[in-house]
Amino acid sequence: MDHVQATAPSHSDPGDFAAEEARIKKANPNYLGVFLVLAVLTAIEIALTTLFENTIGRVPILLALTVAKALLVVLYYMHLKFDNKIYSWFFGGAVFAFALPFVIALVFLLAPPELLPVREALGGGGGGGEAAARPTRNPNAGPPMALEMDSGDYFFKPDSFSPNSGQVVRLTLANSGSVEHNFTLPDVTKDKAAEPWKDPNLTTTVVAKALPGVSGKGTFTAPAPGEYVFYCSIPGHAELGMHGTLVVK
Amino acid sequence: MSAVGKLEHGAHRAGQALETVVDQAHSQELHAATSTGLDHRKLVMWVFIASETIFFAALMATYLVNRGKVTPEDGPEHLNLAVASFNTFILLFSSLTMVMALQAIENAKKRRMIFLLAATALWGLVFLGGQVYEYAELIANGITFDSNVWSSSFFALTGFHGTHVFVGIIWICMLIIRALRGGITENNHLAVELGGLYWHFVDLVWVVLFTIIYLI
Repeated sequence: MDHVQATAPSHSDPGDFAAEEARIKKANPNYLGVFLVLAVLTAIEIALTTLFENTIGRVPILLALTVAKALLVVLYYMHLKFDNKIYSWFFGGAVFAFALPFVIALVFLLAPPELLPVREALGGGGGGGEAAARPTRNPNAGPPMALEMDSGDYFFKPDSFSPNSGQVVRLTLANSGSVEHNFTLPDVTKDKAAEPWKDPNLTTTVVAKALPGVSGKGTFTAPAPGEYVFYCSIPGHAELGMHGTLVVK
Repeated sequence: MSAVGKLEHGAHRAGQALETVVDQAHSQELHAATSTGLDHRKLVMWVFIASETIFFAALMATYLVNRGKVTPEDGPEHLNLAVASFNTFILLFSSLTMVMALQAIENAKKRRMIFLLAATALWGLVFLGGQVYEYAELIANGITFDSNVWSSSFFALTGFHGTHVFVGIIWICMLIIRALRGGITENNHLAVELGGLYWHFVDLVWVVLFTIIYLI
């Protein structure tokens, strides 16, 4: 805004836009100092995350540091500390009436089950209640399994593999065929769905897709022990023999 | 004094008053009196920022809900904290150069302002470069927009933020062009302040994003 200095003394009525700017200018915040504090707070955040990974206690501290940084930016760089309070009302209204309720709801959703038994009681609240599809936690699952599988018209090779329950499978699906293929896994075992492609009501996961001559990657966690039928979900392919068996130990 | 004389005198006084008003109006340029006593261009900028806050809160909420739905191997594990940290410092520093650009023009240092604006835009580009690097790394690991709910929420959230940075860079470039053409002066630099508000807001969003995506 304009013309602050020369006529400043006579400009004190609320209708004068220059007054607030004059106030900011007079306050002359130490912007470099603000930056240095922001940088130090960020460094503390990164150090906390690196040193105390997976420690739940660091989360409130990190959130507090984030709020402090956000306030510094808004109050000093965006001048709300010195500006007309109406701007603060608009911004504060958006934060407290809309943004913060989201955050509060999500802190609840994010709390790990051991700290928040009610979440499990509610059927896995945070995760959306898809208990069946949830990876099982098995301490003996072992390291991730890298699996390279070839697909073509119309086969999987190998057409059987057996990870441990809870083990992560990193699948690379090659495609030596002439049309697109994929690796699809239902969430129920073979005795419930021997030909899962025929049941449109099943919940299935397309783990990886591969266009002809290209590899597709995907990851999944081996479900509860049992035999599962995996297949290519592109219509007709499974019927032509494009399926195999996943034997989870 | 006769009645006519009084009238003439009154008219003369009125004319003088009008001249004063016109002079003041000229000195204030486009500033019409408003019911709030605030410049509505700045007010509408804050209303816009308020709406953007809600926009990003919704995207963040989506991310936070979905991030627990995949195993770390499906995405979160592949995030690059080093690149994100670097980007955080870059964006924080760009906010400093932005606010110093405003300070420069307030003190009638136009060339300094242009230099600082250019620096801000450059930091913005460096930030985008870091983001492109991170995206390329994720894609190389087989994680794309449609891999799973986590990746969709992640790319939507950071992608919209990156788009805002990109818009901010264009905005700053327009400010520089306007300044070079003489459209921004010591007494007329609201545009720099408004561009700055937008840029700091984008920085602010990243401060929160950084915590919820990379730290907690």
